[in-house]
Amino acid sequence: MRRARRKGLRFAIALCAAGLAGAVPAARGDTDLSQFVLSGELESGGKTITGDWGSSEFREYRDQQPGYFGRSALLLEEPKSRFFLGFDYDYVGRQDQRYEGRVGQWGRWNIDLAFDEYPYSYGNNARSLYLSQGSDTLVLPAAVQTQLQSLTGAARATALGTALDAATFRELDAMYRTGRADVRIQLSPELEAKVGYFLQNRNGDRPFGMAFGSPGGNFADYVGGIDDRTQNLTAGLSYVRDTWSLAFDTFGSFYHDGFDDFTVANPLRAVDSPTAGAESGRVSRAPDNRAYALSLTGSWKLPVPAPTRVSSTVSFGQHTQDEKFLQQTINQAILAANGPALALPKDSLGGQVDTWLGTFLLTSRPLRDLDLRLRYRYYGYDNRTDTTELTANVVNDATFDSEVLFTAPNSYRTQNLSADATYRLLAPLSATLGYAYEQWNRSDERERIYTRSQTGKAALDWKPVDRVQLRAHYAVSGRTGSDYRPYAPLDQRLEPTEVPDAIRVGQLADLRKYDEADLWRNEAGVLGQLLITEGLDATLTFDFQNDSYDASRYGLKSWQQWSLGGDLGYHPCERVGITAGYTFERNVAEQLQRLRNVQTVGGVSSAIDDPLNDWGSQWRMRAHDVHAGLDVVLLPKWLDARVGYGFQLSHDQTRTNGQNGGPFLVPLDYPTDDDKLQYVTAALDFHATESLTLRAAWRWEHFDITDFRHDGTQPFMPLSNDNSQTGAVSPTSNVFLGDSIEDYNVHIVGLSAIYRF
Amino acid sequence: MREPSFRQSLLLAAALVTSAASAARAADYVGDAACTACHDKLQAPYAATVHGKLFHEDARSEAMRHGCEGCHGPGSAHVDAGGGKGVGGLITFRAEGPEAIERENGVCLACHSAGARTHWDGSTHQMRDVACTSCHAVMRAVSPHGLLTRPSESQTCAQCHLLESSKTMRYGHMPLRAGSLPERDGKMSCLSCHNPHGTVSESLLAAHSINEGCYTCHADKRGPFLWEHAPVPENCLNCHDPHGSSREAMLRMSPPRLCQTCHDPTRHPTDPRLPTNQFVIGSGCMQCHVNIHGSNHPSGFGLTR
Repeated sequence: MRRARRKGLRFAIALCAAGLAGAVPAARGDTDLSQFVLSGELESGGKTITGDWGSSEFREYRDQQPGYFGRSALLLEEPKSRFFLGFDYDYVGRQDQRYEGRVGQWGRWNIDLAFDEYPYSYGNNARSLYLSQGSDTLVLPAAVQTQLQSLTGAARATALGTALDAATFRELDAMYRTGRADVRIQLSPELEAKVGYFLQNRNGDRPFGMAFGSPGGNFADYVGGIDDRTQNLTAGLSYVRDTWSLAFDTFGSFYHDGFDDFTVANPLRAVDSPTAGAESGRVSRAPDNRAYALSLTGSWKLPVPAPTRVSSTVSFGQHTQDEKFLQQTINQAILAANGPALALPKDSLGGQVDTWLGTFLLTSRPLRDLDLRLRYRYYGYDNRTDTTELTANVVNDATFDSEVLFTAPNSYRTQNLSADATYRLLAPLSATLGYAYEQWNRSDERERIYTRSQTGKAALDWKPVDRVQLRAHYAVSGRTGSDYRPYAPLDQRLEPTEVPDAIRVGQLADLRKYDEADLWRNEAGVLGQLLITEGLDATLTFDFQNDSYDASRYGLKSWQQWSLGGDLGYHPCERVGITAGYTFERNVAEQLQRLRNVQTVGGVSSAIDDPLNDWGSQWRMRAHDVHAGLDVVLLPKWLDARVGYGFQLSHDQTRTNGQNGGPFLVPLDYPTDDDKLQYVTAALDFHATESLTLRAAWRWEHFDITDFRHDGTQPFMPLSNDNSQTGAVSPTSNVFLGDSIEDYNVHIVGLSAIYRF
Repeated sequence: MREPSFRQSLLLAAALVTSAASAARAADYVGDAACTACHDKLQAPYAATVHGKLFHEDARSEAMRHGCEGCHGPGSAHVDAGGGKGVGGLITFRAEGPEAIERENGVCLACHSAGARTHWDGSTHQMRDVACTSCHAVMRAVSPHGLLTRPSESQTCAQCHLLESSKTMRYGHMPLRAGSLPERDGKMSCLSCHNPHGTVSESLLAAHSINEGCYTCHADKRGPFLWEHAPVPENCLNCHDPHGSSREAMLRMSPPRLCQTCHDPTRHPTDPRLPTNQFVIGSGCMQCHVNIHGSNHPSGFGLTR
């Protein structure tokens, strides 16, 4: 131990010396620095970018800028003691920079530290008038506010539109910054300990919406801040012997949001009204919360003639949340008139969810060619939060509602039981037959107390030689459950006397939510990997899944998905490598709905449930992904070249039809959404010496998107409430951000030098 | 003694391959020098790997002390027979059939059975006879970490999971396009969510449930909230496709149709809506129902506050 410590000290001193001296190795490959070995590479260079690269999509998750770039992946080792120190970095000074450092002794212990950041871009052409007043209050500029307050009705809306048209573009970017620290110590060949820490900060802006009218209509989108932090801590200890093992793991997670709420000025109302709306609205942000879990895992090879192993995991966790509640509303006029009714029964939720996990797995080989597997899994999400009774509420800070509401903490538990048997029919051929049972139990708030799925599955695996295999599987499953109670959420959330009224305007009784509905699923998959000739191999995949919700008269009726993929690798000689691949995916989902307007007869409101108002919808999506690459050694030991091409196309369309020629306007198909990404890369590597490579690289990227949901939106859209029944357009006061994702077309040219140690 | 015929040699080789364990027991260890006398080209790349650095020098187990033979088995029979492919009952890691794969995987698991491999037995990959060497290259350093057969984790998984890899190229995706599109993000990898060596959850998810995996980074969705959106704590995948989709936020389908699959109380949710309508354009339903994952606002029952 003392010897190891001395070596560690010498290692550190040598590392400093090497750094100070700027040791320059003489030959490619591991570089000997006295008793230390330095390996890895450094790349440094510059690049230029031309073309149209203002799109936020070009900047998503990366920060491509003209100028210097550099990266490294270095490892310094002391072979005898096996101490090592590694350091990697990418894109220094950019918003997608990454640094990783690690130190340790191979096979004994290691400490890894990492920092990483990247931008997440929602768009960069949003227009908003709002100014932040403090961090969480958004107000209109004083001049705009003064002007709007002096106007009413249509004149006010027109003025708002004019002001928004002149608003400057806003960035909708957030920076994700993550830090990690992981320590692992192999205390003995059997005993390992590990500790980890993960930190994620998110800062920036993103689009949010604030509803001012109710229900639906009259909302304002705005640029709201993101400032949150997630910290996760893990620690574990595992002990492994020949016939048994034991592992103990802990997990803790802490989430903090810098924003408790957003208060946003209503651009079309200057003063609070008890009935007509508020001068501003307030929305809550994600509450701070915590979670932890303790897990114990054990495995044991049973002392029986047939090789048999059992393993089990038991885990208990908790999610808690106790952030102080906001007031029911910030509409002072409503508060003044209804203050006592809007008093909160408690200051915070005191939310607590207990999670339980229990697994049991038995694997056995009773016969030489027969493998058995029996698996059971229990997962419980037990929401122990007390139900909260709220004697009144305010809809969108605009409308006081004296209806008593009860919260409905949602709990569930899932149980999975499966049994599989694999028999080796021939030396390279195995067949598997299996059965799986899944049960969900949900709390009373959901429509079904339980659902049960039964699955039969079969698989064939043929693997005669290395790099050649054929795998196929097929599974069929059926899901049924307890009586479907479409009004269960109302029963839980309302007083019993209120339920009949709510039912009359509630869910269509025959609609089934697809996650609880009866389901008949067929799925199949094939994977083939073939070594056609030496140097030429191919991979083919096919997957199919068909979900039929035949028992659902309304709602999602079916969802069919299939895909086909192929990859080819060809190395005709040592100097040439060719890769190519293509993947296609298609989805078709069909649903049936009913338009249900409200009629009021004798003061009683109810839905008009007329089958003539049924309408159907079919969503179709297909995607193609092509890629190809060529690597060539032009001059052995001197010159390499690489070229690559990629193309991705997604095509998305929703078709809608009136089923029975109902009284409303024929629903229209939605325009097609397409997004297309193409790239071409080319790089030339000139190996000036064994250690030094000069690289010239070119890259072309083209992104093209058609998204009807965003392409046509303007910051202010007073005529966005067109009626599919009458064709009439109702005036609204909707404020959008008017943002859309833009196309880009760029060329990136880079020159760099790579030094390999 | 008469030389064996070609056919006899083949039979002998086959017998040796199929009974490597017993052959290995019968053979003796000959040391690395005997191996590198013929397989010298493998030595330098192997020495650069973690195994190459640990075996012999820091031998903490019987296998490590035996160097090459620690994994390949005793080599005397192979050496005595003059070498050759399949000769001498060595474990060759060629993944030729389920039995060979199991034997080869057993060599790896003799040392690597703890930690992330605890649940290997009975896992999907184990049951489908996936060899350790399908994903890991032990004899040369191809990847910076993990001794993978491809330069990155995502590329390694993409050898078989072509569709999932393809989905990462779509407009709505997580930052894990490494490899397939150089100079793209690559801030995550498949292993950020999955443990291919086996887990207690479905789809080889590393966390105890789908949602607990998502909450690792998206802890703002964890709650518990005063007003829950019931399907949210049950399964994020009810609405999202984590591998990527052609829609923002990786939604499986665009609103309002996504929301309409479950919601049709009277008024605005039941209407098909025209393509220029306020419920369709922009963020659709989420323009007002902004706290769709749950609300802690006392008046947030409609998830608008």
